[in-house]
Amino acid sequence: MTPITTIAALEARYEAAHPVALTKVTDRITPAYRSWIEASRFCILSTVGPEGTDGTPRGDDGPVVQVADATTLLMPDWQGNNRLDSLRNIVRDGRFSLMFLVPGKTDVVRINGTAQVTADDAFVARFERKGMQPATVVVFTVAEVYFQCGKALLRSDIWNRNDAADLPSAGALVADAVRGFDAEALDAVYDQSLKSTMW
Amino acid sequence: MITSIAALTALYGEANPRSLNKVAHRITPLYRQWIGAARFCVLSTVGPEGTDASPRGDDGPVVRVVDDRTLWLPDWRGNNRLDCLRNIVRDGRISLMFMVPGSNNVVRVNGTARLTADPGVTGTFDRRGSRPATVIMITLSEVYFQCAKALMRAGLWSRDDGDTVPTAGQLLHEAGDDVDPASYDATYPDYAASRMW
Repeated sequence: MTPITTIAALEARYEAAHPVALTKVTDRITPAYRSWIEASRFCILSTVGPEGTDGTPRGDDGPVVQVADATTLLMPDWQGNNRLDSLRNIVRDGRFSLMFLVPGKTDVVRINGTAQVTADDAFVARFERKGMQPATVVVFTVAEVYFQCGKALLRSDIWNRNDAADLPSAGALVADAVRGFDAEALDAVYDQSLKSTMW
Repeated sequence: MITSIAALTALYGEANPRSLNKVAHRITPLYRQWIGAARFCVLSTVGPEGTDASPRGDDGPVVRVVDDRTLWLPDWRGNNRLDCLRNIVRDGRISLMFMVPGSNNVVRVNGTARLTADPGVTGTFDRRGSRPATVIMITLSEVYFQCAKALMRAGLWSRDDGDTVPTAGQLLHEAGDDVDPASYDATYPDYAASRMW
């Protein structure tokens, strides 16, 4: 196997980018992008730090980010597993990518830029709900916004399928990797435990 | 703003121990089954221009499990921006997040990747006369699954909000592209279908 190790060798394998793929990039959130992003309850946040890259799912029961202005997005950090992989990355290296999904839509919207993490009351209080506040808020400064045609979603047809029935359970996955782990005990409490700590 | 790891961990406390010990360093039989059911993943990379997150999908398994440390991801036709491939050539660090429709869990893989155009590799993905230009060869360092709160909160698999967002034609038109939004949107599905692989 011969690896490709230079940009020139890579470009030699591909035609030039479709012009639309380059001209459609904007540096701010236009009104149409704003309505797209505000309809999205789910995105993947990609970050990088000394330990490597990270891609984490983020979701909410309304807009997953708040559009503060044309170059600023705010994302509350609700309770998770406290691994903090993406927050640890952002504290040390602000570069981020967001990929927004909307169920039923095969286009995705992508944003690149730099982020900071804050615990300032003025930010976390904006997201208060049912007496709870997020521990922190991620403040994204937008550098590039574009959408991508959905071949990955068209090929995979993810909005019209349900392939979950045959998947191994959460408990089984842990037990497969950790000797002596009680898979059934985890699966029995898993959904309830998640629901009680959803925000 | 929070600018140190110490300030961050002071706010959060310790990680759930289960979230740390569930990390495996090879693809166990059940992870193989899970990943084999995934037709869609998001590929995260980084390069001098910044990070990138790219959707990847296929009409069968989106990656091939070659052995318990190796995944192959064919690069089918896209927009030829090559953002993530340019990144991989210069910085091999990658993350994959696999999704399966109907499941609120996701499986995550971290590792390093190399890119090849070797026919001995790309040729193994031949289909209907098409061959991927390159194949991303991933060496896994970590695999784990993540509880589903993000997907549960979002109701991702039980909603259809597709008609509530601007179309591709509308976004292009707003960006100044000389397209008629309605005709772009009407012709795109056939255009895409003719160059899907």
